[in-house]
Order: sequence, then structure tokens, then C-alpha cells
Amino acid sequence: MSRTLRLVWQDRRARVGLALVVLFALLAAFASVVASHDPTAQLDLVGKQYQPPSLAHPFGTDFYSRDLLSRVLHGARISLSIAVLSVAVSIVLGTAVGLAAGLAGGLVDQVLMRGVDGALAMPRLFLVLVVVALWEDIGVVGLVLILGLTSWFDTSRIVRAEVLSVKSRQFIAAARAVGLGLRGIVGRHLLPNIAGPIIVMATLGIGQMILLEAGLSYLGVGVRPPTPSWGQIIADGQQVLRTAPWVALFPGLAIVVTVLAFSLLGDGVRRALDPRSQ
Amino acid sequence: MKPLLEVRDLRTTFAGNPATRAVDGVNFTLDVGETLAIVGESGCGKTVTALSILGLIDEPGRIEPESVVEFGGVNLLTLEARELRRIRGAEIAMVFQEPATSLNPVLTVETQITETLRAHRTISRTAARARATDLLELVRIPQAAERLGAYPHELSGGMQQRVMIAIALSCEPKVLIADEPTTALDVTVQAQILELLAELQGRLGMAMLLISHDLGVVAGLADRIAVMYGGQIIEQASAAAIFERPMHPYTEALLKAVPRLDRPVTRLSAIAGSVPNAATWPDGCRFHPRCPHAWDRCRTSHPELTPTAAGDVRCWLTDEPHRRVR
Repeated sequence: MSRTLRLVWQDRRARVGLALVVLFALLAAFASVVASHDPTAQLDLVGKQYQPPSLAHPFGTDFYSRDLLSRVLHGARISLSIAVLSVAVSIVLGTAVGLAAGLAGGLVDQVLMRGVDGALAMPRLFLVLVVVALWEDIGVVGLVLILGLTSWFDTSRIVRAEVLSVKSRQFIAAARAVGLGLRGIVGRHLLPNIAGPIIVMATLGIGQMILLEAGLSYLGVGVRPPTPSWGQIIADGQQVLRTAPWVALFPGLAIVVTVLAFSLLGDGVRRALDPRSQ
Repeated sequence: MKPLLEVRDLRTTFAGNPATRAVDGVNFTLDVGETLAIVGESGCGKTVTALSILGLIDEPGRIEPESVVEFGGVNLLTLEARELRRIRGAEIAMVFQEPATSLNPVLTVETQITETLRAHRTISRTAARARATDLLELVRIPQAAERLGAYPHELSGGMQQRVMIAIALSCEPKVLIADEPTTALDVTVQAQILELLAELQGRLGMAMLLISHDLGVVAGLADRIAVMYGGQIIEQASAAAIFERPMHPYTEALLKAVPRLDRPVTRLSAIAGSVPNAATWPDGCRFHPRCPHAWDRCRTSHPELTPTAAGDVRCWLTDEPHRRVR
């Protein structure tokens, strides 16, 4: 593991990604310390509506005269934790189902994969919208579950395909010939050989989740106001894109930079894990 | 004395219509410290025989229930999966044909050696590491301690095969199955690996089941040779007897197909035709379509493996030697 970390650190792009991810995570974790204002405080409804960026309010203010920098920082908390946790749910579930289908084969494989096919045929946003609409007062945990539980399908397909290709390789037969059991073969020989695609899916997934959460909040069915999330702030800014573009601009930039940072990091980790790529 | 390993009536088939009878009634024994070579063309069932011994046949393949692989008085084929795992790698180890694909590309040499040790023995991390170094030295890998951290792709083919041998020897097995251990290697490296195998076998007192399509490879190593054709053993005798007086026409043909340095240069003789499909073995003797001596009896009636003074042979010529075409 220390070797992987060292290799990630030696890779300039991955280092930038890692630094940004750590920075954003720290900012989100200590948002209440870093932010100069309470993200929900309406500072001066009459005098401070839609203030452009200034020294006092680096990201400007919104309709309710709230400090946008504080809102984006607190929004990072919600957006990042929802994205990371729901990706974790989705990757764990997708990997488990993909492994089961690929290893068991036969009827188990058929049943699981036909189920996944069916689920994939449904538009995900629609699926999420229905559940969210039925589930009143959904909260962050609910949102994580919904997003995680509806996004593991393609992961399981890819993992299954990788398992099928890796399990027929000779070194798996060799591992069985030295007396390893199923756990040893899966843990030591199968998973490390399919870790690359899984990590790529996870990092791409984080970007997608941030966007999906933003979309849901934008549609008004995600995190409930006044709790800030990036998608919500963008939704707030949409009506005033011409007159106060900074409202949508800064959370938008935050999303772009975060997604990019995770991609850089994920790509670096993938390269570090594959000894052949050096 | 009872043999160390006894294979009786081994039949391994692969489902299909008709089913593929890859191994079709193989019998042999292996004594302590002995080397038995199994020789034959591709597709005659050598590798499937080796995999069957360790119970490594997957769907749609299956080992027929009457088959017996007796090791230490136990039929391995009736063992529980967990008990069989205790034999694999510890008592009976296997070296595969292609070292490049038999090593896990994402694990270091050390991990791959120690995982076998740790699967079978209670051994600390440091002790396993020390043992791995010793094993690499045993298979004559220079700078063994440094190579522990290497990944397979950083090693040459010969080095990779040495690592495979080190893994196979890690738990001091009683039987080493070497399935075409040198086929994927350069000729010069082949000789080194064969020499190494012979030396280690003598030093560790293992029995070895050497599988090869190359009589030249087995010549220096084998005590006895079993020639396979069509999923069956068609001739089995001491190595000396096989090379001096091959009885089966197929063995003769195989020998003629090996280039010799000690004879004047003549045209190499190839065996006409190819191994028949294992799903549709010919009636009668399975070699008759390619045999220069074949007559009616060979086309209709299947010969059994018959003991003779020099060894066992599965050919009607033992009954009717005058049929031999000169």
C-alpha cells in the first residue's frame, strides 16, 4: 500500500488531483471555521441583495443577501459527502454482484444479469425522481441510499466481464493448483487484477454523482433548502444568470474542479496499481 | 511396496454432443523419487490428465466417478474440496506450461511464493520471506533477495519459470507435475531448466510427472515413459526400452520425427494427418487412420494395453507381428 501511495505521489497529475481532493475535503470538513458567515444567515435583505464579488464577500451574495462563499463551502460538505458515500455504496454493491455473477456463472449469472439489464433499461433520473417523490423528507442518508442503490448496475456488468476474462487466465489455475481457496483467489488474484477498472468507475462515478445530486437539488427534490448544496445554489442562480452570474458561477466552478480532481487522482491510482504501466 | 501415486481408469470428459472424451481410461503409477514422462502430440490428453490428478477440471468438464487417483492411500477424487486444497501445492505441486501467464502480473515474486507457504503452513511473515529467498537461491536466481520485490514482467521467461518452480517447491511436495515446463522457452534456457529440475528432484527426492510433446526433452530425465494417443496410454516402458525398441508404430513415428545430431542428415519424417477430434475417436485402434501397418482388425477392434517383456503396448502387432510392413 505504501508503494501505491508513493507512486501516486510521484505522478504529477495524480499529485495535483490528490492535493485538490484533500483541500476540498478539509474545506468541507472545517466549513464552519473557514466560512466567514452562517450560510443561512440573511445579512441585510435590503442593502446586500445580489452583491457582486468583493473583499467582504469574495463570491458575492444571493437574493436573500446570504454570503455565497460560505454557502459554497457548506455546500461542499453536502455535495461531497453525498457523492463519495453514494459511490461507495454503488461500487461495493456493483462489485459484489459482478463477482457473484462472474464466479458462479450458470443460473445465478443469468438471473442477476437479466435483472441488471432490466434496471439499466429504466432511465436513472426518472427512477430516482419517483423514489424521491414518494419518500417525504428524504434527508442526506436517504439521498445517499437512493443514488447508491440506483447506480451500481453498469458497475456490476463491467466487473462481471472483467471477472470472466481474468478467471480464465492461467495464473488463476496456478493459484488453485497451489491450494488457495476461493477467498484467497478472489482477494489476492481476482480483485487486484480488476482494481483498475473499478477505480476508474469510482472516480468517474463521483463526478456523475455530484452532477446528479446537483440536478436533483436543481429540480428541487434533493437536499431541502435552506441547507446549501452546490446544485441548489446553481438552481438559485439560474434565474439571475444575466444580472448576477456569480451566483451560479462559483458552485459551478467548484463542481468542475472537484470532478477534475477526482479524475486526476483516480487515473493516478489506477496507474500506480498496475505494475506494467511504469 | 505401494506406489506413491496411482492413477486407475481415469476418464475425463467435456460435455457436448457428442461429449469430448479427452482422457479415456488412463492407468499409471508413480513411485517415490521416480520420473515418469507422459509424451504425445497436442490434443492427446496429457494436460487434462495432469489437471485431473489435482481435481482442477471445471464445468463443462467432469471426471467420471469410477476414476481413481490414489495418493497416500486416499482417492483424491473423492476428497472434500478443503481436504483436496491441503494436498494441492503442499503434497502435489504443478508447474505450468507458460510461466508468463501462470504468474499473477500484479503481485510481486515474494507475495506469490509466500502465499503458497502461508496457505499450507503456520509461518511468520519474516520466516516466509527468508524461505522465499532460500527458494529463489535454490532455483538459482541471482541476487535472490533483490528479486523478491520484482514483478513478473520484469523477469525473463527463464527466470519466470524458475520462480514457478520455486513456488511449486515451496512446501517440499512429494510429487511435482511439470506440464511442458520448457515449451515456452528458448532452447538454451530449456536445457538450463531441465538440468535444474533433474538436480532438484534428486536433491529433494521428489517423484516427477513430466509432461511433454518432445521426446528430446524427456530423454535425459525420465525413468519411464508413457506415450499417450487419443486420450489413452498406447505404450509404456522404461525410457531405455522406448528409445531402443519402440513397439507401437506411433512411438516409432514420434522418434523418427525428432532430429538427431548423431546420425547423417536425412529428411525428417512427419506423422501424416493429425490427432483426431476427441469427441469422435475412430473405431478400432485410434491410431489406425495414420498407421502405416493398419489392417482390417485395426479398423474394427480396439486393442487393450497388453503387457510384454519390454513394457506395455496397445497394438495388434503384438498378436500378429508378421503384419508389420517393412
